[in-house]
Amino acid sequence: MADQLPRREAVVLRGHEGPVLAVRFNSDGNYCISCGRDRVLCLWNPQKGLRIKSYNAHAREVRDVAVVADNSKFCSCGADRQLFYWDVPTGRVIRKFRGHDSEVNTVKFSENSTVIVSGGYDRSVRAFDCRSHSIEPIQVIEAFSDSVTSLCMTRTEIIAGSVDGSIRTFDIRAGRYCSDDLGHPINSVALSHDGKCTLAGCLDSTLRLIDRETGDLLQEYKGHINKSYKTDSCLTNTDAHVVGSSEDGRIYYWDLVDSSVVSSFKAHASAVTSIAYHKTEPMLVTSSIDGTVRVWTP
Amino acid sequence: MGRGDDDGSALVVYGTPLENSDELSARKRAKALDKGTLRQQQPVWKQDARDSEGRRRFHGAFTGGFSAGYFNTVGSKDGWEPKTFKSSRGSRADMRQHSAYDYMDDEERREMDSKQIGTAQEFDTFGFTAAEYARREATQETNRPAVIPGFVPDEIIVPPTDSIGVKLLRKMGWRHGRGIGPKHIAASSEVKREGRKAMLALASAGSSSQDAGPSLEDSETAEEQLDLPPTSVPDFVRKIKDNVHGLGFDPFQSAPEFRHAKDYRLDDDKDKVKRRTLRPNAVTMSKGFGIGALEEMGDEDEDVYATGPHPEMMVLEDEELERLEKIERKAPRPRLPTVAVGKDALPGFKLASENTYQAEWFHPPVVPPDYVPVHKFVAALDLSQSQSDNTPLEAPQPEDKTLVKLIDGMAILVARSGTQLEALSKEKNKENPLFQFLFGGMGGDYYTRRLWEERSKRGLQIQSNRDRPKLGASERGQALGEMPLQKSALPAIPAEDRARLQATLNNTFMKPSAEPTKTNRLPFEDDPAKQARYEQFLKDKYTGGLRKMNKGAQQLTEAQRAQEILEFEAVAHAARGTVSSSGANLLGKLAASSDRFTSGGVEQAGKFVKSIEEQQSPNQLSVPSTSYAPQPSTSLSYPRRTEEPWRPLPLLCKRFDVLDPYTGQSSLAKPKSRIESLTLATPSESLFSSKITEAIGSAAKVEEVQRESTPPVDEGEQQEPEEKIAEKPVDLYKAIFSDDEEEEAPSQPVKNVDAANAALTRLVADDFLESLGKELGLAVPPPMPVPVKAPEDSSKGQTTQDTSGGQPEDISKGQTTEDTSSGQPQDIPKGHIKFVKPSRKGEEPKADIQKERDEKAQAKDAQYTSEPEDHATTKDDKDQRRSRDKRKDKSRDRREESSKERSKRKRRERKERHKRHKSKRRRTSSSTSSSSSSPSPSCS
Repeated sequence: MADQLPRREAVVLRGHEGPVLAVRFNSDGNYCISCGRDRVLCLWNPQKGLRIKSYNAHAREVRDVAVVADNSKFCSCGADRQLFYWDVPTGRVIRKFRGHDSEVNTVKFSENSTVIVSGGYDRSVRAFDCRSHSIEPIQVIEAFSDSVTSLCMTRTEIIAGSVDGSIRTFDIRAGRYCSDDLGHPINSVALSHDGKCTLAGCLDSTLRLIDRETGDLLQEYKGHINKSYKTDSCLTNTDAHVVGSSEDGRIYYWDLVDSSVVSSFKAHASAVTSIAYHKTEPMLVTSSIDGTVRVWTP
Repeated sequence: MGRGDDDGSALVVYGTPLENSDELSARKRAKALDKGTLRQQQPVWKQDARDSEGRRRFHGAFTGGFSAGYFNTVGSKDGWEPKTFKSSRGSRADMRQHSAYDYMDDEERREMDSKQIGTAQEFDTFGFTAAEYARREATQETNRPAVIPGFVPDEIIVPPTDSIGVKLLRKMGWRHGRGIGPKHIAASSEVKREGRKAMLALASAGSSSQDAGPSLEDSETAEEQLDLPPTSVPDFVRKIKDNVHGLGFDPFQSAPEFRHAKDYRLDDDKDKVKRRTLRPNAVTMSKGFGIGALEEMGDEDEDVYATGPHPEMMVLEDEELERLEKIERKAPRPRLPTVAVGKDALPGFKLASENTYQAEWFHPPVVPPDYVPVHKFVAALDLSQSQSDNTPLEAPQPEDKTLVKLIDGMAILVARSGTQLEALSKEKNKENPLFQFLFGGMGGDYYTRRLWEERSKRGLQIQSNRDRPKLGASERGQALGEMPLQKSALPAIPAEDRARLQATLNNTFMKPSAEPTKTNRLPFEDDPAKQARYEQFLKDKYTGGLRKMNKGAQQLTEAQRAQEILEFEAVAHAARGTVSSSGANLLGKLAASSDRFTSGGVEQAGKFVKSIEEQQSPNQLSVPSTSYAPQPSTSLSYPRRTEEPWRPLPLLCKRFDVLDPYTGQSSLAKPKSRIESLTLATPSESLFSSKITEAIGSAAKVEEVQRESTPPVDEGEQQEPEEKIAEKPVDLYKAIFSDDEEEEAPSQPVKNVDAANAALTRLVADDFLESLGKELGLAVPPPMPVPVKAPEDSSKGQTTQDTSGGQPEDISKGQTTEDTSSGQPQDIPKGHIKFVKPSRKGEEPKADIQKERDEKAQAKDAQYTSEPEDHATTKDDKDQRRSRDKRKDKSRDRREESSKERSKRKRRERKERHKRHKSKRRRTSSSTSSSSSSPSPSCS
């Protein structure tokens, strides 16, 4: 099983001038989109290594990007405090949402792609409506005491990790929110594919697996370095392994159950900023400060 | 008076020409008047009808004299009035439809009837006239001998007469009992003739002698013409209605194929039908009793409506089906249901010799021979197996401790999950020397023994579970996630006592911990005495019970001891963490090696680990409770979970396709729009603002206090402080304006919305009235009829300027209204509150100098009347108002009287103000200067 993990460098996607801050697959995994400090978003074909299109509108660095379920649009956010809602084929900005009061760290779409949820340095999570023409947020959630670094969504929940050390789950259906205090600043939040666990990357160089239902800590994954950069973590498509990125440019695979490091390899010359795992296939995309996006296959 | 004119032309004039009054001389005119031909209209009572001789028409002494109807016209003054009104209230059913016919006299009716085309009575063989005609004819033969002597009422017995049709037919040579149409010889069978004879004989035998004439004649004719078709033996004779269906009911309406089948069957049963032609009940039918004109002799049962199906068709459907089935089963002749009309197929078709139609037949499923229709539970089987199986021998433990643990764990797992797990792990760990026991290698005996033990244990467990199927209330509650009930007496004790009790108990007793912790390292190496005490502490901790006084701790003070205990607890906790992680590794390895196939789901793995934990007693694997499931009681450990209510906004819920969990609940977090806050200032806020206005002068300070005093809101809901700030001063405005309102309707309770709306509309009206007043004041002399309120209002508008703006010199009217209506709080200067304060006490701030004079005289009165109606419409204020209302009731009389006075005074005031207004306008064109020149007396 371990030999099925993507470790072989398939393609290097070069094009960004400067650090690449995030890379994301589209919904079917045939394309990926990256953004970086050069204020440009690039659409790639990761299989062939082709740069398909680049999107220019942001005034400052672009920190995160999210693609709509039907792949026709995407949304990006960045240090210019705005959220841009893009049309993929034309490359035009459909709408600029009045974003946050400061830098926007992360953006995600709701499952039915009607709502953009973003988290930012202003200690808030904001929900924006794609259906109406309003640029104002539908709701501003200011339950955080520090910058919101990462978000993930389920059908009815918004899960947000913050530097204040808590994962907060806002259940829209139940009208409640629960906060799991992990005690360490949270850098990234990822859901397992069965939706029952949350993987939280903490700034004490530990990934923690939390049972969503009870809030119990199921496992901790250590070995990598993550103390100052915003990096990503995720689970593989089979949920069997945990993938983490390190500040020394390495990628780590842990066994989900026994938290042993199954594999690690040097992926980039400098810190890995973002990783994305293909939904169905063993394929990993990583982005780094060194300005490259690399595609990894078994 | 129709007469040609003098000029002798062909023109002929009929009637009396009306004469034009202008062209007539006085004499002629009088004459014409007298004659009634003057064109100039006379009043109706002066007109009267004249005949050609000029005489007044005389209607008759008893029918109106000279004036019938309304001055010789129809009806009344109001016109045609055929009937006086009669209330139909009591007799609604009697409402009649009038037709022109009702108003016709006999002559007219005759005329009308002559134009109509209808059936002559003697030809009307249908309906009522037929019976009537028959009766008339019958009465002509009253001399006939009657069977029943005496008078027989005609209504009961209607004699049969031949209808016109029958008469005609008979004239054409038709005879009773013969069919209509061309003759043919087909139906002259012997049986038919016999049947007919029998029937006719019976019928004639049963009939009365005087009526028997035609029927006997009929029978004779029938006998004479035996060769002729007896088709007049109608269908009903052959096809008797032998079912209970209603007339006209067709059971085959939607299933015509059954009709064919029925036909077919009837063809088969021809004999039966033939037998039926001998109608026994024909005897009972007496002629001339209840038979219509249409019916002839022997037609008693005929289907008069002729629309229904043949009675033979009316067979119950199920019966039909049965029959069909029978035929199907016999199936000697292949038939297709659609073709098989009668015996022959459709012309041009031949019946198939073989029926291709075959009903599909499905065999019932084969029940396996070993099928037992009773479910047996696997565990019971296991148990019986394990008990019936030969018990494996007691085997010694292998020397290798890890191997023992591995075997134990494996045995437990296999006992729990079944032998598939064993097979899997066998396959998986073929090469692994550690797992040789699975293949009967090292420790194989021990493994089988352990497995058997575990299995039997498990079986027992299951059995015991089954013996005790009912869960306790607490267990059920736990399963349902309820909070366990507090069983201790603690809740009864007050909180501070409880804390004290807890402290003393902690000092004296200790809770037994589940597992002893083995510490590898010594936390207090530098202090051996302390280390000893710590070890003692640990030992005690895991035995529990009374806290022993440490030997070494005697020299310590109480406080030091308590401090130390705390320290020990912390250290023990930390130590337990390290041990647990080391233990977890082992367990994790075991889990991973034996259960790798479950690693697809995290949850499964986690549960698996937990289940092992539950199973093992601590000494079995000596693995302490791990960090997988941290105790919630230890508040130090992470992660900590807290839950709070959070309100998603309705739109968000809508976008997430989720029902709003807070539907119908008050919107706590809803940020209010500016308009809302303007028109519907919440009561608490306005109250609050009034307090603040008295307390502080600056708007900024108001906000601060507001923020401080607002109850702590949920974090997520505390959204826009700016918005709230913006709202406050608007309420101040409201407070100001609602004072104005009181003047106008002091005794009326003002509703919140109404008050605010009125304030808004008044602001607009003020502007308008002011300008109007200006115009009128310039144009119209002092006693102004129209704008009674105008001067007062305009003065009010000026006052608002004063209070809101605080800069009377700069402010024009339009500006003021804008400011107030848009409610921009930023424009309010600091000092405005001082202006506000006196305004709430009564009318004084609005009073002008002239007014002041009056007011002094009636100060008491004014104060009294204006006081009770505050701007406040709050809930809090309502109570106050209620109490005030009581006061009002007590002295109502006094108030009424005072209100009269007040109204007088007001009128006077208005006049005065008007004069003043005018004079002011004359002095200066700008109204602002007038407002500035009349500051409220209490402001200064």
